[in-house]
Amino acid sequence: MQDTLISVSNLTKWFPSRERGGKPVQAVTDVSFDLKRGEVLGLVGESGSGKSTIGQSIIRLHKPDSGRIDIDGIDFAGASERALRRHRKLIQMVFQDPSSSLNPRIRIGDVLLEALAIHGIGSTRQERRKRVAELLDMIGFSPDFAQRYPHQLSGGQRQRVGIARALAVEPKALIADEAVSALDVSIQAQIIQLLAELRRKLSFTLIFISHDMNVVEYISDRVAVLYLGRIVEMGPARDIFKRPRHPYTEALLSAIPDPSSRKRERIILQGDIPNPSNPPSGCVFRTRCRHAVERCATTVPPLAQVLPGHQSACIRQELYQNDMGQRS
Amino acid sequence: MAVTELHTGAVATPAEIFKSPDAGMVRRVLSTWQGVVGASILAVALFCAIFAPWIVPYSSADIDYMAIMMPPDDAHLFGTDEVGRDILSRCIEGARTSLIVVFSAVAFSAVVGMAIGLVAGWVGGLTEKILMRVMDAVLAFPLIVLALTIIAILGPSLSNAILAIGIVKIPHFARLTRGEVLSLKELDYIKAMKTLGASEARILLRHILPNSIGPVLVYVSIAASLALMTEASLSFLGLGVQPPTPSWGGMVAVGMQNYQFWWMSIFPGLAIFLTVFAFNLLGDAIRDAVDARLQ
Amino acid sequence: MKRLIDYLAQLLPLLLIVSIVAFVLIDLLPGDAAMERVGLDATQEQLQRAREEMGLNDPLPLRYIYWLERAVQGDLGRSLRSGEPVTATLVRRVPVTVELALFGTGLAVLIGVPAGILAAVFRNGRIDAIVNLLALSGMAVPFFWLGLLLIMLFSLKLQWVPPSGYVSFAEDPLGNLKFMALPSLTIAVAFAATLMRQTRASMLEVLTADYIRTARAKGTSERRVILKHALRNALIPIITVMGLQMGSLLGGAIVTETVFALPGLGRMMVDGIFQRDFPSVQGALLVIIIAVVVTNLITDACYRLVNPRIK
Repeated sequence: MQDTLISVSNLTKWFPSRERGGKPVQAVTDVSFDLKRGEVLGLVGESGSGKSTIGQSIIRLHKPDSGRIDIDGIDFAGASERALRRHRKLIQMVFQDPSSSLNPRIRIGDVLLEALAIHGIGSTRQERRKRVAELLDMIGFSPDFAQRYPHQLSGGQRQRVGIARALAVEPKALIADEAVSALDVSIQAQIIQLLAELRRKLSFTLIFISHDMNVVEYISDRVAVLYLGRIVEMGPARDIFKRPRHPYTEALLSAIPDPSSRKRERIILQGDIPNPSNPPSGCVFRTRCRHAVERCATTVPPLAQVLPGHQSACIRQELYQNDMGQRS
Repeated sequence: MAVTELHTGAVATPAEIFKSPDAGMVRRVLSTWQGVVGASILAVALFCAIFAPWIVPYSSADIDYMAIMMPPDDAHLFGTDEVGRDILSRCIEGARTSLIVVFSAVAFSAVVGMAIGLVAGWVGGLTEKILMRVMDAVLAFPLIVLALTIIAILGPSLSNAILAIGIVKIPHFARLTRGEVLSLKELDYIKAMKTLGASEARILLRHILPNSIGPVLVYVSIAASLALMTEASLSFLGLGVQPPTPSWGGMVAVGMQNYQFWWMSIFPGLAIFLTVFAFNLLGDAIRDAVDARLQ
Repeated sequence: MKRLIDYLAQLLPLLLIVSIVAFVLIDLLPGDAAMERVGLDATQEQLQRAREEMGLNDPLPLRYIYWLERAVQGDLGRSLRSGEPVTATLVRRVPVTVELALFGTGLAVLIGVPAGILAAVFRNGRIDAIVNLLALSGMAVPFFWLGLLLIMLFSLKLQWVPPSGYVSFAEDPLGNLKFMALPSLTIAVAFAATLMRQTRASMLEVLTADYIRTARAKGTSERRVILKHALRNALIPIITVMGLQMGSLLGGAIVTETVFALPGLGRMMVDGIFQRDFPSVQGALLVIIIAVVVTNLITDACYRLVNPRIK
């Protein structure tokens, strides 16, 4: 479909174990989804769920072990580093840690200039300077901010520069990898706002990776819930949050502090997160799932459609048949 | 619009100059006594080295058999040597020789060492293992021993001394650089450059290299002190700079054969001592200044 | 045990590389061994035959293997000057250098460690400043100059000990000590300087640890606290540094032997270079390298043994 910008099929990435002869860490296993142009996909999960690895694989910071990643028709998974370089402007990333996402010795104006220079945007210095000023304005800075060094900016400001750097090459897609997790809550809101607005203005496709459900709910059209490297549920944001159809999603949602809710029952998961080098057989969540039955251990539940546009990897959909009302 | 609300509270005064994180290093170094003393002594040595021909009271070639081995007096502040040359003048000229060797050798090892370290750290894998093993093997040799051996192969001369001393110090620079590169590789801004599609050359030269120089800079002064010590020892043994080129080590060697005439060996030796001392002090000061910046 | 074997296995390649580097270096030394054997006025034919006999026309790897073979059996060739087997010369000379190194180390420890302890205990006081200055100076003094100064003072002016020469301990213990006093002191100074600094640093680290506070709280006398508890734990990094400094020590020994005319390894190497007696240079070089590598090995092993935290 012309409509689909990013197509991920059966993405798998396992990392070799640290010890000699140990089993590999199964970071991401058999992940598939399609993203339409202009869509926002939220990837949620706890740490270790593989969400960051998915992001890094899509943008080819890692080479996937198997699977396909097609971005605007270009094969991102299999291409050589060299062949890929030209196409890298299609998709960019905003990183998590503001203290290491910028070179401390380069002024932020030059950071943006460099991004432009790499892809030959603007044919004269004048043009590029103008573009840098535009980018700065887009993130709410006056042009003289270009002279500043990163250590003269706050964390939130540095994140904004990171956004500007990513958008400088006019990408069709952006991945925000925990882009606000390292910021104070009040600043987080600002940055999310900025992202949402820029997206409306520039209409790029966005993959928003976070462990914070509230933030994901605000900005995403669709949401994919990840556990131990697998998608356990995926669907429209509204549906996922109001009518989850997987025990893990329920547990995640129940943990969100919500002053307005009176009858939210907190689901505490038993047990610990399993070792990613040695995941449970069948459904990986079964060891902590309060609804697990024998069948859950024998077959890996497929990510199957349970409602239009809504998929779940839980075989016990009967639990949700009567629950058509709103969850608070 | 939401964007305008994001303008920060910090007002940029027009006169504000934005300083790079490296600014103020010199000031910090000079604020310690080690920095001041070290820098001063080195400044004197440097001055002697650069302006030698113009400030020496007597030319090095002024051989005066009438005045051999005279103790210090008004005419010759440091006395004269075995062929009647003024020792003070020879000391000043010796500064030139020694500093040339030291700076060239250190520059050589720093450049080669950093290149090796960069490649090893960035490429990793088998290349890194092999390079580092070779570096370890070279490090297993004591400085003087290796320098002596290289001189033995190439023959004693000024340029060979530079080469020998330079080669001996390469592994240390390589190790320092490699360490920095390894930790830099993990930083987000390097990953950002990759995702932007920057070429490896650009990443290495513009981002990795400038940020890995730190420890190298700290070590340069220590390397210089070791280089000077080695050069002096080589010259003392007669295997470094060859006469008649004046060299502090060589002068001490001659002085040793005539130890009744104490001024022939004391003054050159003092020069070596003070300069090595200064390099060490400066090294300490630089290290403290760099540490302070990291706080 | 398994760890030890593992570890040795890792070091074997290093030793091998070192021996290869040593051999290549020697091979590069100018001077035709064949010509040295048959003399300057030999004919081309004689020269060629000598080359064949000595195996000089074989490819480099082959020559290395032969050399290694012979070396392991103890045959390191003959001195081109004296004709004496190099191994025999080494046997005579190594003890001199060893004695110098031992005395030097001993003196350095005697001077450096207590000074470092004092500096740590009276931290930031005048004693600390003096020790620091002494250490900085000690590290900057050239070995040969210091040796010379000591000779001028103690041998010439005060006439306490002879300026140079050597007699073995077995022959004349008192004479030996007299000859070795100044050289040992010369070597000791730079080493002591490093030890001073290292001891101070280690002691400071240890003195702020909790178990020291416990000992003090229990009412142990300050002296016992310092000497018994603190020092014992501070010694580990000190010993490590000592081992690593072996290289510089041997380097200093070379120069010192020249100044004091001691018949040791260092002199053997330097004289060999001057006299173009390359088998001697080779032999001396080999022993020095092995000594440094082995010392590093032992130090590393001791460190791992004493510090169970490191794998």
